[in-house]
Amino acid sequence: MRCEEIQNRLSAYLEDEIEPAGRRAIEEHLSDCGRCRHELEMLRRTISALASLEQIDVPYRLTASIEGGVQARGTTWLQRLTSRLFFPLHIKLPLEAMALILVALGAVYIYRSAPGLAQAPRPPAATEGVFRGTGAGQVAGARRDVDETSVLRQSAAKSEVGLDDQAEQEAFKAAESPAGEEKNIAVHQFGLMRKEAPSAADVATPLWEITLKTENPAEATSRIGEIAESLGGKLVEVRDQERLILTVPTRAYPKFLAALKELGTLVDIPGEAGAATRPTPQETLTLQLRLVR
Amino acid sequence: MMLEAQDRDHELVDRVLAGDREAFAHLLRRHQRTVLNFMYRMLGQRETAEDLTQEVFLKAYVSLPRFRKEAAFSTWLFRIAHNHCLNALKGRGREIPASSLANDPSNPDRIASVPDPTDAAHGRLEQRELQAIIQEKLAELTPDHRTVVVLRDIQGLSYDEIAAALNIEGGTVRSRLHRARMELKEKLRIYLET
Repeated sequence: MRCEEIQNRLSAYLEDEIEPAGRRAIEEHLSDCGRCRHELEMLRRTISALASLEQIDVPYRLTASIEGGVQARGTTWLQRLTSRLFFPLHIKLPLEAMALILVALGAVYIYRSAPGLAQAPRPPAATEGVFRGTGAGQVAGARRDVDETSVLRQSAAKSEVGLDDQAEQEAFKAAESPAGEEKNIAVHQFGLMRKEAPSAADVATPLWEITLKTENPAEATSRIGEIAESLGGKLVEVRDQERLILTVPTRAYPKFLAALKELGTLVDIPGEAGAATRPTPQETLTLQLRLVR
Repeated sequence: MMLEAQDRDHELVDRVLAGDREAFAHLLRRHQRTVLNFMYRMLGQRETAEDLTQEVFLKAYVSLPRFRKEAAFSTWLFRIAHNHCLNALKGRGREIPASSLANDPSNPDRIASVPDPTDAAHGRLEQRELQAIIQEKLAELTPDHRTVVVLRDIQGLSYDEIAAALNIEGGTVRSRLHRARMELKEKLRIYLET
């Protein structure tokens, strides 16, 4: 190696950073070259002189001044706030990534648990979220608001454990059917709209109550069921052999009342004066018919 | 040993972040001398070095929540010190004229007059005078070269620590150090030859 090359490696040589072969080559050169040996010695002296520089001591006033400055700025609440705002990236980034993944998984889960979500049209009544009766049914409707709130909660609970897809599809169809059930329930939670078909429990909570005085309740029960079906309604349930739960199309309600009058005497008839002519949000009425002798 | 010191520093940092100001006083006492001497060798003026040392520690205190424990606290502190140093040299015109060092009244290495190089040749140069000359020649290096020489040959940091403190590659540290040493060797040759 030439002297220039050797001298360019002397700093690394003194730091013991040369590989063994290179080190041997340098030492061979140094043994023959007085000029390079002198340069090595000068470099050693330079480094040694630097290392020999005396350290200055810290005056007490400097320490006190810094500590005073820290005390003045030492609003620990500010540090804690800053600590939160400027959380080290190696901690903050994984946390944020995890949060993002959880949000994404949540969104996928909700979307998959409501397959009709994307396609389902949004009926105007659904935005109200509750069923509202009219006329004499207003008070009962208000009561239903409360009842349906619990239904909504149950619905939300169901959605957490997952609903059978087929049952849900049927519920959607029933809710969207033109014939219609009497209720649409919309649940707005995290952007989710869920509709459910009326359950037996829902139907069993009649809106209006009618009392019919008749000589033969058993025969009347059978006849009333036939009348309801002939008008497009249905006898849903018979309770205690004297209370009938029925559904009747709203438009056929006057005919239904007229047919009932042939079986006995009606007492406290709600909506008799033109129930079918008044606007109602539902096409089918749910009635409780009490039979008394 | 170094790892123990690093762990101790990190423990103190945690305590400071938890609101224990006394822990910062411990950190200050552990590192203030190193930072002050780094500043002094970089700037050549004791008073300025003290002012900047104070700024560095106050900056460190405020920035402590952002300190990542991937590096040693001392390395992080040197990075702050280095930035302050460069700002001082650039912004405040604190680059110390070579000829002024020996006569700086705050300089403990101050000598009455620049020594005659021939005195060195005759062994008449006192140690205190030589130290003033070395400081003077250090100030003639570029800030980049001066920094690596101060950190390596005066403060004794490893290449890795210097690379971390200056946020540069290890190879850059080596090449800068080599050039700085060679330059200093030439500047001091007349005083070091016997």
